[in-house]
Amino acid sequence: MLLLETHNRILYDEVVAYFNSDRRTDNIFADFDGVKFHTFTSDDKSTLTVSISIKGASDLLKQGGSALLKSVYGDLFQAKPEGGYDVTLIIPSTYSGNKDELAKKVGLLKRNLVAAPFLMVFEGVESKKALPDIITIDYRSDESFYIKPQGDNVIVVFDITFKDADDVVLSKIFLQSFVDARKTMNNTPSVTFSQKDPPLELKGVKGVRTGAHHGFVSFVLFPAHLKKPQETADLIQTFRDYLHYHIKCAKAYMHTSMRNRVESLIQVLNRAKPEPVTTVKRTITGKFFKQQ
Amino acid sequence: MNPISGLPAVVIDNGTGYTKMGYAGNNDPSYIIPTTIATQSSKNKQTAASQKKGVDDLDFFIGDEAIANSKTYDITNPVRHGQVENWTHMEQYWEHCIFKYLRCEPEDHYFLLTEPPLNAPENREFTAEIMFETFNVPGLYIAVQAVLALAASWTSKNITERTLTGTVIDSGDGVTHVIPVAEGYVIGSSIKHIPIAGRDITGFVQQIMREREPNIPPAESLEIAKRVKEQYSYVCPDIVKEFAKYDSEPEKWIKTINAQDAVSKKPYSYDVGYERFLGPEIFFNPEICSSDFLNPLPKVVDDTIQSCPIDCRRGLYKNIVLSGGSTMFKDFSKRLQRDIKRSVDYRIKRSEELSGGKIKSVPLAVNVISHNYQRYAVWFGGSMLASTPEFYNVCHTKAQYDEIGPSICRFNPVFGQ
Amino acid sequence: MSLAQVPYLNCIRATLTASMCLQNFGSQIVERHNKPEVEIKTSKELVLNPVIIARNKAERVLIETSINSIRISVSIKKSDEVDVIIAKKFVRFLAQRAEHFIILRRKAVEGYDISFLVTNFHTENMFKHKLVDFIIQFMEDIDKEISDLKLTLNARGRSVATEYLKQFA
Repeated sequence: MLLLETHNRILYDEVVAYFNSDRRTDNIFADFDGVKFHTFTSDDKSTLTVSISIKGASDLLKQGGSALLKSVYGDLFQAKPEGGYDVTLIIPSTYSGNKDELAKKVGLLKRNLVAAPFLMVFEGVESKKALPDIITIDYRSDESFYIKPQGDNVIVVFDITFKDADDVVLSKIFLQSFVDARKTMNNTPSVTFSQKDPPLELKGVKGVRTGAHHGFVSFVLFPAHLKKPQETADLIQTFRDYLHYHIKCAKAYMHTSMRNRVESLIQVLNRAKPEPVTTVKRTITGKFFKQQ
Repeated sequence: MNPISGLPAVVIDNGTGYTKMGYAGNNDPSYIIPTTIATQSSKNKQTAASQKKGVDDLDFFIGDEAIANSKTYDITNPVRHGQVENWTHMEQYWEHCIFKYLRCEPEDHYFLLTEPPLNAPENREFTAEIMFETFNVPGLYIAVQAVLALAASWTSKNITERTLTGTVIDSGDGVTHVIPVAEGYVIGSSIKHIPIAGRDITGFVQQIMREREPNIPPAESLEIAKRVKEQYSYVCPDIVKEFAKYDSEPEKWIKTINAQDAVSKKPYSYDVGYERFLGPEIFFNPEICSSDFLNPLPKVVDDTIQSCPIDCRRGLYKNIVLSGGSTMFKDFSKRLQRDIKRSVDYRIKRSEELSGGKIKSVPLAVNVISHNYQRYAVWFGGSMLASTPEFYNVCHTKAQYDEIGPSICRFNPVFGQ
Repeated sequence: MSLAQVPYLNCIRATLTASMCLQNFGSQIVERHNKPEVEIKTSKELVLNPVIIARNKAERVLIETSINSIRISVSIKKSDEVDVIIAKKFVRFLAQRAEHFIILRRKAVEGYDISFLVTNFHTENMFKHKLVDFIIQFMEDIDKEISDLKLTLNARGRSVATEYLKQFA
């Protein structure tokens, strides 16, 4: 698996299971970026409630989130979310449309919510509507992303931080590859990456965090990418998790390689041990004589 | 909930056959998938030198997807007899568990993993190495499966106190274990195994039905045997009486099932009869199906407890807990309790007789506890314990790991009592 | 093995072969104890002068000898921060498996990355020249592993980035 999936499998399974069985459920589970889901059936099993909590939800909802969710989920979308959560959908057991389609759609809840500001800006740039100067979404407690329309292009800046000092170094290799790989390819967004200091695009933006552990990755999305808003939004919103996933896989690979190296070294060391001598001698009477 | 991110802990129980995984606090695991990994063939022995292309090692599948891809990939089980055999495969397996199935950022969640009784402390260190170094988990706890099964039994109505002393009967597909646990610590020297479990019941049912029901197409006989075992089987109090009951009123007890051949679409029908109670009976009378192993389960449980230190035997008899799919038969706990009680009472009576009536024993309670979460008892126990605030106090944290090293995971304190 | 390394490794090999002359020697202080003198250093006359063989500032080997034991400490070449991290991870990984390596010291001597401790019991039970072979092989392998891992890391980065950006086009 190279790219991460955008839908949540557990959520999809929950919705499918709700229509196919009459068990009562009440589950809490998570997704990337600190997302928490809560699904439960009502006491009479007539509805399934799906709630999501995510940091920066108010910004997401304001920047096109509400509109998008309303258009995708229609009546299921609740104006007032469940306490402690940010968005709530209620699915009635009498739902008449295609249930598998619905399950897929609900499975994409997090994706739709996070993709909303991107889609709004993409569309706004296409149709030359007035847009805010810059949109800031604090989607994790110490990480944010910024969307800035600039002429025909859209600039997306990720502020990425690593808790582990080793990961900072590994991330540099990966991020540098993003910058380099771009040079050999056509029609890709331009990528720049800077450590410690935020890029010029974020000049004057309040609350930008800096420091040795922060890296800034900017993608410049060209009009060609904005022509395919859905695909582009899918990709760009998984960027942080994609990076983290591959850093972890790289470390797992290092373990694999080291394990094999250790094995071959132990073989070399074992060559130093002489073969055990097991000579069994016979005494003159025919009995076995073993040297103690 | 994780004190920093507010997200539930992740609970993964890697069994020999199936992996159960999900989030703490829920009643059911989110996924139950085979502990199987499909990797690219003949490429597992490689050092960095042989792999310059980059990401070949990401081309693999786990669980049901692994089995679906068995034609083009090499299928292996990273866990054998409950213990991890191949750490490289295990690490990859976890990679997919976390990023593809559970979809969580491991840096935000505490983790609870399980291990079989008598696992080597080195294995715990290797687990810690992978979890902390590769996945950067903030906290890790490795729990013994039998102890989690005990904790799961607290949901039963019949339980009055939350104790971690008891005998766990864990019966899955391959082997049945009887594991005595005193105050959260496994009495390793007294563990006993029985080579009778789910697979043997299925085989036995299949054999009876093949002899009696010629209509069943051979290709489907295994599936039918499985269905009979899972849907119709139960444990009877007395095998002779049960036969008589069936013979006097066959229409009431014997069920006729109509089915259709999957390939030829030809309808056929078969009866489900004696095998309904004969299948699970092999736990209590193993001689009806095998000639190698003749000790019935109640006797093995009794022997196990008798081999334990004398001061914990009462607690072990009082709390006999079931775990695993093959203990789900109706009235399994009743029969087991009755049979154990019988041999215990006989022993007490005998010793009173031998003492010439001078010694009177205090009556001994035998309780076999049955509850709703038996099938995934281990996972459920983990889910329950990992949702308590205490869990976050006993977890080994990343800071401790960075300070001291993998050795911190050699010992996992018991908690939850 | 790169050609430039040959004289360095040959020098280590010769020094090790010459210095690995160990004999059984009981403790002079505690009766019926037998401890590696190079570790406890209780008596001056039992410990010989240590030798440092250095190829450059980073790559060097410290060989400390005594009557019944010899300690070899290696410092690995580290040219940038990626090397430092890989070396750190690898050394920790090896130390974790020290049990299997018999002569590997769980903790490295200060200022070095990894240490071996060979006692007279090891030389009695194992072939001396093969032990020397192992240490040389070990040094070669560790350098090779680090540079290989670095190459694969870069290759991985490249394919990961390409794969991601390809999706946009």
